[in-house]
Amino acid sequence: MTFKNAFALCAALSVSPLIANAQETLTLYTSQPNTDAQQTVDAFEKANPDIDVEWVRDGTTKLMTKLRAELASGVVKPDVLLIADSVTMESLAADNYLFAYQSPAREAYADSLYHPEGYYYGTKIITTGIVRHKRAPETPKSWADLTKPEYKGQLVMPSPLYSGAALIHLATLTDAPELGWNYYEQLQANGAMAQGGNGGVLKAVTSGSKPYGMIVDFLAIREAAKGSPIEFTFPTEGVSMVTEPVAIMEGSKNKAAAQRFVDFLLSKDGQALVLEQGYLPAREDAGVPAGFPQRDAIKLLPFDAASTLKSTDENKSRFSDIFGG
Amino acid sequence: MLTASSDNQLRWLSITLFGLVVALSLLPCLRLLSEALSHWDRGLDAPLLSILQNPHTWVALQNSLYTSGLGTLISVVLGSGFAFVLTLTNIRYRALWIFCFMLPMMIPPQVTALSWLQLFGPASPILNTLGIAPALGSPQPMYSAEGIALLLGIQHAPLVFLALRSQLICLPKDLIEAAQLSGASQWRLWIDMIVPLSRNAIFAGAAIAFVSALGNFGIPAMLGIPAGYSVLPTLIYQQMAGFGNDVLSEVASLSMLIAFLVLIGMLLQQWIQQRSSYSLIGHNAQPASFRLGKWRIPTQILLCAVLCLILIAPLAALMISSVVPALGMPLTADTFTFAAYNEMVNNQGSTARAFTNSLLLASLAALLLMIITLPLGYRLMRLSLKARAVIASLIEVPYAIPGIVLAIAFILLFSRPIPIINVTLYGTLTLIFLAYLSCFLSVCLKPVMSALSQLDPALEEAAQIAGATPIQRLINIVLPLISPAVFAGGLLVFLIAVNELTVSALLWSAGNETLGVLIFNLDESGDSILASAISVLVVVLVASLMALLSLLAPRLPKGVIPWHC
Amino acid sequence: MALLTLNQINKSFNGQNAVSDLNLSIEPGAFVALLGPSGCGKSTTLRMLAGFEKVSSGSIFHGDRCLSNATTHVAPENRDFGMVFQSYALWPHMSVMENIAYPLTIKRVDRATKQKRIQEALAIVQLEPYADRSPAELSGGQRQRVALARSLVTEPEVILLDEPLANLDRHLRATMEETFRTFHKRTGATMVYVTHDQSEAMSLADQIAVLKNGQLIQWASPQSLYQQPRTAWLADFIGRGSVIRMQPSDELQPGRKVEQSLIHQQLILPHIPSQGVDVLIRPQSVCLHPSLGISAKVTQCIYRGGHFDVELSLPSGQTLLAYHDTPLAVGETLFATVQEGWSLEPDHV
Repeated sequence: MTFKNAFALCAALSVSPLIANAQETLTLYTSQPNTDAQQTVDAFEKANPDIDVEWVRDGTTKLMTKLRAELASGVVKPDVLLIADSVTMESLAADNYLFAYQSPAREAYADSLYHPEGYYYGTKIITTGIVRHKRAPETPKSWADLTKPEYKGQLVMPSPLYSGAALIHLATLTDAPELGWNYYEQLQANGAMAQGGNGGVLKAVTSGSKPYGMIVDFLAIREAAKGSPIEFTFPTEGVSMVTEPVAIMEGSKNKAAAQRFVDFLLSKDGQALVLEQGYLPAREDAGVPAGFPQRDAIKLLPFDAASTLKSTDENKSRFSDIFGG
Repeated sequence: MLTASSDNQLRWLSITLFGLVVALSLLPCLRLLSEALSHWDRGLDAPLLSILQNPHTWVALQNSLYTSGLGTLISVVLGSGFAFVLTLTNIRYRALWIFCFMLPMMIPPQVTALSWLQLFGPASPILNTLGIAPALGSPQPMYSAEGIALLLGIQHAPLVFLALRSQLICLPKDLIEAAQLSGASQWRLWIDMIVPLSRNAIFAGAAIAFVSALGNFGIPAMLGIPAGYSVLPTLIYQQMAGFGNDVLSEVASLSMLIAFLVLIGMLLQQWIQQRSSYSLIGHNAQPASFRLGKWRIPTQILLCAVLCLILIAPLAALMISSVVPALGMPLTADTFTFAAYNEMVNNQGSTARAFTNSLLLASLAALLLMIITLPLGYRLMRLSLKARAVIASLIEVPYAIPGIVLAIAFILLFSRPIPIINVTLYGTLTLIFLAYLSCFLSVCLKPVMSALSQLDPALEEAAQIAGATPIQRLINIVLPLISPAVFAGGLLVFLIAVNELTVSALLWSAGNETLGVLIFNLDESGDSILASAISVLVVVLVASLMALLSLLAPRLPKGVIPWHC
Repeated sequence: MALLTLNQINKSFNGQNAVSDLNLSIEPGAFVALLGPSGCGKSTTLRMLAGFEKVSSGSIFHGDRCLSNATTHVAPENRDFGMVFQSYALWPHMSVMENIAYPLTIKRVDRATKQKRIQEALAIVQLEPYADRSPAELSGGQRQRVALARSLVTEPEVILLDEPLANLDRHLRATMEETFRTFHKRTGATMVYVTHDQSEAMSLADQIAVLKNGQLIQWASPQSLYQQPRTAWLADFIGRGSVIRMQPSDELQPGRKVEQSLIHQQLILPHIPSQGVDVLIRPQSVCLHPSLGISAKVTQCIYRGGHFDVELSLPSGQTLLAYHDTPLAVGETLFATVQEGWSLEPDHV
């Protein structure tokens, strides 16, 4: 193949996805796991056959770097974002990258779950708790338990430097009066290891190399249901929460379709899907998945997205200093 | 007149090729450099300086050099050991050994790391069966600098192997026989004759292994991050998690540091190679071969043991981890399931896309680079040694700097539509293609340059006297003689590109994911079983391709298929 | 057929002079040898003729056509010369036939003519049955002949040969020399032949240019070089003989034949003169006799197959070389007469 032909082929390939669809195309950037993203997109497309969704899945940090680089060059590719945490959304809103949309579905949601001006809406409640391998000698019941000598060198947790959820968790726990930064220093002294993301924690605990871990609820509960030798605990002090918010980009060219996507996620059907996928839906009346306690039994620690945004860099560097990441 | 045409041809060739090099190698580096040097007005707070002042940078630098150096050493020992045994001796089942040795290179680094982790963890199926599994919670030996170095060494050993093998094949028998006649014992033969003559190839292979190790992200990400051991690529990854305003500049600065290291390594290698070069190609001689005699069985056992360790055990761990329903469950007759394969093949549209994209990108990149590197290498040979060293080093940089950074450079370069033709390449498969060209140019060029430098110059001069213009000489004389090296280069590019992760990780967008991205994403988000399933499919795919090529090997010129004798 | 001239050629590499002030005028159809020890610049000169090296200053002309000077340089592919390389440079991926055919293929000669020329070339070098073999299957001598055939197939006016016999054994060399001679007669091409072997040059060439350290020492026919070399170094380099230092006198000027009487006068002197003129005495001019002539003592007697080399020590201590049919004992005293000698210039280079 000559250079010219190859180039032409590539150019054609790159253009063809755009010509192929005569209908509307929505581009979604998400940090959900692949299978969940595929299911979400499939369900939306089924309910809205005239819209085609192309989705890009990556870890929150990588996704945001990609997005920021694009925005810095003046290019806006995604129409909607569905990413782990609201702090990231806050920073995008602060930079005026998000489009304010007052979705009618927001009536069914607690005020704390969405931005008052409609920049972003939480779709799930994902908490971070404690997971242990079934053969592990101890059964931790609280965050404080993890600083005990029995857990020395046996704990793994996601790093706030890589995981949006872990960052929120850090901010929440360090704000809690009975825990604070002292807690993390104790953990470090107790040999806790900060692994990359929640997926890494899952691997470490299921493979037994670290019998105890901090992890997001759905991962542990879902895998345990499939037969993984692990079990998840909601610690007594309370848990941190991320809401996996959805938002529309200010620069989107398909705002109408984007709004329908947001509405779908917030609708009863959309939340039913969330339930089926094993997450705790954000919508109050949507029930709880198998393996979860009732909503009122879950104690949420207080959290403020805006103030967390301000202290993000400081938190990260302080964590980095403690754990040498 | 004829005079003008010859000079003209050379001139046009030069312009086109150097234009390509500039576009593919120089521009991304310059863009990064300009990004790294931005905000200079802030003095000591400027991104570049703050990076240099940060102790994390120096620790990571040290760690990078240590792991890459140790890893290169392991690669050289492993790769050259196999190359010597498999090329110069009369061992049996040679093609099979070579095939098996090349396989680890095809497995994505993060998959390799994953399988070794599973091999040595408390849940390791193999160790549990043998009853020697470590207790729950015991430290994982792989989470260390040495673990990283070991895997880097294994991952890149085939690079050294290939580089050395193509030179050993050219080692003329009469040179060895001359030494034997002088009374040289087997040992002296190796030390005095074979090792010096293959020194160039060993250095070339070591250089490419070192550079690959420096820029490798997958292995230190999986083994180093959990232990808090950072090297430059993972430091960059962490910086990106920082997303302050300066993150791109800081990341660019760190990558400039890596580029600097690479340049030094390259210059060193060029300097070493200059001091000894032998014209070996063009001699019409049979390759040397030693008889193993009573050492044959022990050697075969040794090779088998090594291969078991570096290939079979990890592959087994990988396969086992793809047929269990959930992580951490033991494999029994009840738990065995193909659910993961079912999910990936039937439900996930991304699987087919990723396979198509990866195969397409890898083959096109390999083809195009083969076409480019022959005239490029030819032209480079005509330059003075210094100029050649500089340009070769420049071409090396995009390969060495971590894929993440190259991707950022390309994003910065191409996010706006290209002027005049007004085509936006951003978010297209074409952009990943261009990034691959930039990244892998040096991979393809190295064997070509190595072969060209060994071509007897008289062969081309004879063609000149016969009246052949530069293009005619290139096609009639140089190409047929160098073609094995060209194909070997293309094949290498293909194998590396098919598993490539870090570049496409940032450049891909909707519909354009590659296999590496798919595997990494699945693994990172907790779907490790699905990731293992895809990995197994990838290994099966590439192994099949290699097997197919082996079947075709008798029809192709000697040396094209590196593992076929 | 045109004159091939080298005018005031200078070539330097990195400041080192490889060739200095070389002037040669090669008649069309001549067989010229460039002779000298390694490093003398002969290969560099050949490469400049071929076009692989540019001249630093001076010019090379083929007839009226300027091939090379400080500003212009005709590339080798455009000079229409032929060349035989020391390593033969046969393309390993082509058969013998394809190797020979290549220059014609490049020149787009039509098939009929091409076939005819190839067959002729193969016939000249007597390799017809080997047309389809690959070079790897041929012996050294056969490869040499293929290289030769390839060089003449385009019927060039000039054929350059770079130490073509250096890699062959002695017997083969003798046969190949014959091949070159017939080759030259048949083609009538101008041949420029580089060698370090003076007997080769003497047997093949019409004119020999002897080079040393980049400078031309002498440009003459083989006989002139043998009998009338210019300098002492040359006398030593070509053929065998003795260089005797003699006291200067009016009759003893460099570059002249020296008569027997003068030689005998000088040879009986008891000391080597500190200043003097060097005179070459070839062993063929020396006769040994039991009683007549100058007394000399035998210091060595070596059998050379057919005759003996006898080294004699003269009264002054200098050595005289002579030939003899029968062995002589070392230490024996004999008498030698010398018929003639040739006086030499001092070495400048």
